[in-house]
Amino acid sequence: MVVAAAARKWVCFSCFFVYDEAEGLPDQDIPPGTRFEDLADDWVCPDCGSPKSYFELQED
Amino acid sequence: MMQKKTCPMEGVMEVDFNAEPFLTDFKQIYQQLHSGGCPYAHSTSGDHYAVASHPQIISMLKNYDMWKSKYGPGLNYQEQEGVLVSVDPPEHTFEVKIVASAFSMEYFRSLIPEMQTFVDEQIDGFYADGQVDVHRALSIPLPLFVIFRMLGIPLQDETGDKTDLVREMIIGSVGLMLTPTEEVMRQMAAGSVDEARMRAIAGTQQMFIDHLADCKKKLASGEYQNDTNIVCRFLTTPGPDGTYLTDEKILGFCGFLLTAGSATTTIMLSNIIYRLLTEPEEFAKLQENPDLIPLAIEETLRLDAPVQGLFRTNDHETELGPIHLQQDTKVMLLWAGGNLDPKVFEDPQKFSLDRDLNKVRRHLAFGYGTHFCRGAPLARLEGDIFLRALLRRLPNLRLNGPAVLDKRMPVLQGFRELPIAWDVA
Repeated sequence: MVVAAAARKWVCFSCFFVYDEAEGLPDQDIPPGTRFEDLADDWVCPDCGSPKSYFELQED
Repeated sequence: MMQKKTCPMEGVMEVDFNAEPFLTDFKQIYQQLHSGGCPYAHSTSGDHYAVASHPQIISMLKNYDMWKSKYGPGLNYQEQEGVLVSVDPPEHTFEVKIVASAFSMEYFRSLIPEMQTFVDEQIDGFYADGQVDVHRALSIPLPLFVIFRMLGIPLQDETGDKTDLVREMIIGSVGLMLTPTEEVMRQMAAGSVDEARMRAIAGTQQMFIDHLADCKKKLASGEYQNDTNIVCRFLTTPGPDGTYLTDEKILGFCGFLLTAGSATTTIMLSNIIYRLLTEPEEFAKLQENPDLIPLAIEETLRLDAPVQGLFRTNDHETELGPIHLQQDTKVMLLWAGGNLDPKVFEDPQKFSLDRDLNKVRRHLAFGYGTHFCRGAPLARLEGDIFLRALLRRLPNLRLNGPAVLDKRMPVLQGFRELPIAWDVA
């Protein structure tokens, strides 16, 4: 049985924007359920332009 | 002296970023840069170029391997090791992670009640007068109160009020960001450097050295905890590799936070209220619908960006529009110019609360990319608290005389005096 991984949240440590995998980014045609690792390598924070390396997994 | 790296070019506008025509009419100059089809400028007073195109600036900031910060955000090539604005990834990433652990959104929000109380107390102090210079009475004190609170240093104590010392320090240091080294040397040789400002710079540095030593002592004795203040957080927060910031880095952070965190926010606060008081139709919309406050703040940041721009240097020879750049040429990225780019913002010189907030937030007032301002959320909170308090407490708010521009720091745009009046109930 394949179990879907739980959606996670990633926080930009430049501006505190939260990328929620459950919601995706419909404005950028990124559908709900898109994992952070699957975002394009050149994807940047929609609020401040920081690269993916400036995001950290949000701890519960 | 370093050999000159730039020269005038046909088709590239010549601008003196330190001179009166720019300081008073920079928006007109930005308009000319955009409408002329060549949004690049060469500086007549310093050895640098400048760029005003919003898409070009974004493209450069995304390419941080090419456009380096290591020589500092000002005109002159910084030789000492810097912090944040003067370092590149991966060192920058390391520093930002430590800062982010201290500068969380939760921490910023925890300061809201104190900020609100402070603003209300300041207003209590002048309310009955029916008039005040709001720049001096609120726009300067609020950001200083916040930064000193974060640092854990009392702004007023038995030795007096540090406001003037700090303001002189900021004017002394930021005021030279666009001044060529040779001009600074000439002023020093001629004895025309403002000695009070130089003493203020040294005095502020000593204040931080003493505070750092005090925090270390009190952490060791248990009197202070890891989160007592931001210096304690810096001292006790390891970076991703388990190492800690050096004393030099912590002192650098303190100076940077004080300068960047107060001077720019001070300007932003006065700009917001000035813009609203000179745009009565838009002000009426805001009074009718306070939900427009976040938009009013962002639109002011777009139209009246506190910082004209900051510098990068190119890692290797390259072309920038029509300009061939030698390696390590200073290029000023004009945040305020990009914010007036008609390719990105319709009718860019107009202040309008009918704009789409998400589109307005594409402004460059806080920079973009890896060096995006860490204090942006805090500045926005301060703007919100400031504006809501003025609207709530001061009825029939209006200008009460000419607003005086501050031309002592050419890299910034803002006021030195902003007289306002209201009806006392």
